[in-house]
Amino acid sequence: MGNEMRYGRTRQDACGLAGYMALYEATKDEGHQRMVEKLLTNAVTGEEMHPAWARLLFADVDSGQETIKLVAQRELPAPVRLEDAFDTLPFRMAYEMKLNRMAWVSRVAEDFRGLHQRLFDEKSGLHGAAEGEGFCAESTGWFLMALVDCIDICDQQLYEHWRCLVDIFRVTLRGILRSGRVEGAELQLAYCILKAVRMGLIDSERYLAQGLELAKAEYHSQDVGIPYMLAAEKALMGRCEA
Amino acid sequence: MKMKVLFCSPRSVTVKLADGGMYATEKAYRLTLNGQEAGAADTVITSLYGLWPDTKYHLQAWDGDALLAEAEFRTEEESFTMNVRQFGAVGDGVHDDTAAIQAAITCCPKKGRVLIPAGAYRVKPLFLKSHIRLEVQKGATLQLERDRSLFPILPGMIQSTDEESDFNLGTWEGNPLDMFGSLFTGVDVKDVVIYGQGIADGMAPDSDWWVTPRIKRGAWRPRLLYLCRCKNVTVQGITFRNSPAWNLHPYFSNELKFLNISVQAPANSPNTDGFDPESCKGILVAGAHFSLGDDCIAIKAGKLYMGATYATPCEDIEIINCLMEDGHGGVTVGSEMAGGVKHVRVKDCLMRNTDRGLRVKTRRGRGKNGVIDDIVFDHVEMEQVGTPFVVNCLYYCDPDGHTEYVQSLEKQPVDDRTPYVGSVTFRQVNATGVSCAGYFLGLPEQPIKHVTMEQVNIACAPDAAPMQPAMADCVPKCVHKGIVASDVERMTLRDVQITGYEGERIEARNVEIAEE
Repeated sequence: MGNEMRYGRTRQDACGLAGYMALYEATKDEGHQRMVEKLLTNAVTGEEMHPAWARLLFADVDSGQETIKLVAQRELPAPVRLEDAFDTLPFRMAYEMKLNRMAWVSRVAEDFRGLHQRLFDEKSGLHGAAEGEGFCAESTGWFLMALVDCIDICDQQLYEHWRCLVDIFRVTLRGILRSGRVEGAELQLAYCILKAVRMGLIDSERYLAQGLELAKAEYHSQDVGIPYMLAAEKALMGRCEA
Repeated sequence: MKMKVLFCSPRSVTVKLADGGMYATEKAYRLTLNGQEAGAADTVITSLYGLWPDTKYHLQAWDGDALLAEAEFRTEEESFTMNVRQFGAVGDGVHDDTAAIQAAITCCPKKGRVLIPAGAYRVKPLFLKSHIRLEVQKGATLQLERDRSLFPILPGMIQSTDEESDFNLGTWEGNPLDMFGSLFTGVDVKDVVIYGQGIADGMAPDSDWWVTPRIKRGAWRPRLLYLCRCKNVTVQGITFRNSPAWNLHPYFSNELKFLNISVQAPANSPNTDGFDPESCKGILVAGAHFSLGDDCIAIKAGKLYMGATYATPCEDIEIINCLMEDGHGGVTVGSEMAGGVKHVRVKDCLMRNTDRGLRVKTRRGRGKNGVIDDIVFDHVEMEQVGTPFVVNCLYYCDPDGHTEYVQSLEKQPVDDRTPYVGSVTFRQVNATGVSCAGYFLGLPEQPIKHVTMEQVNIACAPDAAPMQPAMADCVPKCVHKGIVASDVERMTLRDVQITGYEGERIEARNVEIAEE
């Protein structure tokens, strides 16, 4: 479970909250709003707060600013595994964009680039296949989720950084889908595909049907929260099953 | 006096009357065409309209009864005329005439003319076609639609079917981003002339284009003329006004002429640059008049991604006999210049009431392909120009413009993101009504290579207002300042006179100065 054991919230908790927040934005359903308020009122201090969770405070940056700054002041290590990217990089991207005058968006891009260059195997098109670490669909899923969320947060006018993330996202997605080795990451991939299609990053004709098919996959315990994020994307595409 | 034909179409001609004037001639001259009175000329670059195709003409310029200059020319052939009224255009300023005018353009055969006669034509973006001439006659006004929800969008980048490459259509401030179609949009067209004494009006004051202008709403703001990968396009005589954003924006286009155009916008309008060639080659701007809310002419070459990926400089640019008024800068290079800007000549131009005269702006992060070199300003008059000369390598533009990386005065590593400024020359320049004589800010890690000033006279105005001469965090407002220079490898001064300044004539740090 890595670093997240130190924190009062986990990566999966963050996905649950993110999902309800996105669902409320997409549907304006008061039930979703109540869930958001319920989850947010659980007292967690800045020292305990997981960065994946803290990222969600940027939805109301004024009220959460102090907590955000406490998290930002912590030594957030550069991710060394693919799944670590989701823990920290969307938070750092949001921090740069909303509170730090975009000063170090370049460093977020560098972290993604570093992971990609170190772990990507050109021959197989898979991450983790390099350096003998072994491919893991779930880790790749978290990496893709971190990428697509950071692309969403990053101002497109910082084009060289935004485009760096998009290029890594595209080649990573293409690689895992072509390999067919998606077991354990179906819902993550479905989320990424629907969101990327909605943002115009990938061709809907090529990818959407596959994304919707993956969305029907069986729910795994480690996917806690991801179904809500996926439901929000479906709602935004007008295929609400929330 | 000499007369030279610069351009000829089936129905118009542009000549240069070289009598020593800059924008206006020294005096007005009477013109005759094949022996018939043809009006008067009071600008060095002068155009005549209403000619007949495939006809030989003898043009003469007179001062009273004295013949001063003459030239012969033959107008080009013309195949057919598509009068937009025949296609259903109403021209009452209310009816949407887009479909009718677009039909005329699409149906126009090679070497044909699309004629827009007098009237007010409400239009959405019009898309050009190759090998046509489009005439906007005197009394005709094209009025751009005010409701952005009715505009087509040009996507910034479209991925190829095999996912191996990109197709770039739209652009905003140096990045390939979604933009609304422009009043005149040309994509991959060639051999086009847009001419006449009519008006292209962006109607921005009557719309919301200038409301929250830096927020993308649907797409980025359109221009009045956008040429994407076009070749051999001439724009003659048209008045462009009230553009939603930059007025004229040729982009990755070559062999272009802009003759006797007029570009206007209110002084407080946002980002209404007059003429912004971006990564283009082979441009002539002659006899143009600019009066607007941002840089009159800004020569560009994209930001880092475009500069690194396509490495296409803006080069071989000639700007002559133009009048620039009221903008932020008369002629500017940058700040988007990541593909490089080279071989620019600005000659015989007059600048009036602009904040700055001749301005080069760049910053860290533009990239190593961002080379500015061989920029020459020759015989330029400046009246009431705040700071005549600015070369600023710490320009605080873009969302990260005020960060430590961009604004640091300490040496940073020279890497793939570091731009380069080579040779900039100012020759025979007179500037009056000045606030600050000149500001040259290089990068400590990559100084400006060489600045030359020859026969330059700068007179600070006693009543000049304080201004920030260069837009960088380290530059305060000042007044009655001489030349300020830092991190310039060599500055050569020959016959440079500065009057009305206070303090040092030249404040220099890390500059080698050679003065004769």
